[in-house]
Amino acid sequence: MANQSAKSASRNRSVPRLKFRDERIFYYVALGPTTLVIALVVALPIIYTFGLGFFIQNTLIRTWRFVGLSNYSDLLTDADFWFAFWNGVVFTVGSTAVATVFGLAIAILLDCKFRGRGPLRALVIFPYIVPSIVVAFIWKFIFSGRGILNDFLGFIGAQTVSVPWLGDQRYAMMAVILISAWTWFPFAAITLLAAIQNVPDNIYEAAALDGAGPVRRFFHLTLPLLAPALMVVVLIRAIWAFRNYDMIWLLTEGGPIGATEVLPIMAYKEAFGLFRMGHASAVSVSLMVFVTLLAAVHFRVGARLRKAYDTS
Amino acid sequence: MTTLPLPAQKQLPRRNRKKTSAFYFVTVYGGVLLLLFLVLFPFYWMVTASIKNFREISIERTLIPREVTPKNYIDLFEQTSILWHLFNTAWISCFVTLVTVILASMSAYVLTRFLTPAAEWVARISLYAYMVPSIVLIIPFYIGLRMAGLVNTHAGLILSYLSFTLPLGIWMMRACFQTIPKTMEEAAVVDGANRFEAFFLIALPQALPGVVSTSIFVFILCWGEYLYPVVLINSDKLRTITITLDALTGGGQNIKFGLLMAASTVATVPILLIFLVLQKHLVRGFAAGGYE
Repeated sequence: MANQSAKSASRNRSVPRLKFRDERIFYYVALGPTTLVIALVVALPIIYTFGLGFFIQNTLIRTWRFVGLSNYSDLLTDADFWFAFWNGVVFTVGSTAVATVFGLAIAILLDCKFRGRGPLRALVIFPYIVPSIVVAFIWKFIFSGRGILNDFLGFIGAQTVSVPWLGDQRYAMMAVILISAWTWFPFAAITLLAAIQNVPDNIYEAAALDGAGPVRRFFHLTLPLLAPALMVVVLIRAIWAFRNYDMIWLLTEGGPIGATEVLPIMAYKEAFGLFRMGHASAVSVSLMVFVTLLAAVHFRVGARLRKAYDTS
Repeated sequence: MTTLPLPAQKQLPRRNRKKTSAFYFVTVYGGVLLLLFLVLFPFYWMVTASIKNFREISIERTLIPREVTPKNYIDLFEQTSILWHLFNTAWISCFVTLVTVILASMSAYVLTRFLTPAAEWVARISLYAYMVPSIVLIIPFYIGLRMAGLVNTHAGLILSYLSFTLPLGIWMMRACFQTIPKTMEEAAVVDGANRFEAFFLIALPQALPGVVSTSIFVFILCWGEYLYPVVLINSDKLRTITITLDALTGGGQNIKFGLLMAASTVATVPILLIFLVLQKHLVRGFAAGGYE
């Protein structure tokens, strides 16, 4: 209760009563169209998918049959569903970890002084803005059985037989994780660089005076100070990895033998391969539930961080 | 308020300046070279493959092309209507960007200036909407657009693009308007301006950097979008560039990498141009919350 009233008090302070003559008109003109579009292309489709999950519907033969929760109960006992879920977890944890650790290293590097730092800071963004289909095809080319990666590994003597990395059940997931991390690390790098630049220099100088070496300064100063930014980066990255569809689809189509099949790919195959829309909806609603849980954590953490930041 | 100079801090040695030992030098420049290699090599490999002949691409795998041939590009322009697809992608992306920026900047302004319950709901839903998996939306889009007769039209595609560009736009523009003080608008009330004037003549010009960053991010997203066009478009004439590329792989195991890399290069050039001209705004857009 006390929290509530404090919140509204601060709200009143931040919004002084402006007396424009046409407040109402402006309000509806500016917010109306957006509300309509969001309702039409976001809210309604979500509700529709939710509803569709309770039906068996086949777009080819155009029949609707209400089946209650049976689509969902089917999923709970479907080994493929849980396998796809597990693949999603592996992919999410793997690609987020690699992208974040690599991004942190790059952020620290880009904070150092060297010639050409400005252009390099900009260049780092490039892998992030290239269409994912281009990224997927370049790496498919590099990782193919007769690709340059095999040549390189053979050249340094790390392997004797060529491996089609994306076509081998044992390595496909690892390859997909590394490729995704390559295109996603700029987000972590640039966000963390901004956080590093916000850390005042004199903290490091004080630590250096106290005799802390660079390694200790990293683990006892940099890392704790970056913790909030790291948290945000990891959560956003994880949400995006878990819901990602195109990267894995373009690299492996979920194969070989389902080794990289994740929930969005399963839903896609159900919907546009088998035209079992009800089933596909149930898969995507489950996916949405998991993403929503992550998003809730993200909003909660974000709100707490903002509060901690305000009071300090 | 805090613009007072702090001379004491200026005299302190900067953290970066004092560590110029040989070890530091080698580590930093070694890291820079490694980073340059990791970022640039894939693109080097793409561009060189696009001008190599089949032998050099698949059998010899030469690091530096011995013989430059335009064959892949000639094949590309003969076998696909890639120019037409580029044009489609360009106009769709521009149109979606325009609509998104207009709608998002107006509504984001309202979200920061009018704290009504409805406005808060729109803010909440659009933040959440940005995380909703597109696979959840594509099924109803496909069914709904088919009922409306909009499957396989650019209008339907544009509508579906708005489902992710508008939430992103609102998110970014909201962050932008939050940093713009309301004092000038308050002064404008006193001078008898109306809300439209306050928005278009006072707030929006100040938000211009945010508008530019938002436009770039939205455009880039539209340019690389894959899922919606692959499901919603099926006639060749209406395709976007990502589907041109996708269609080139549809030949079983033997992917023609030369052709594919040529197409990839063509698809990357517009993004490269945007990057070269507007990189300053891109970096700032990241800071303003341009996620993905």
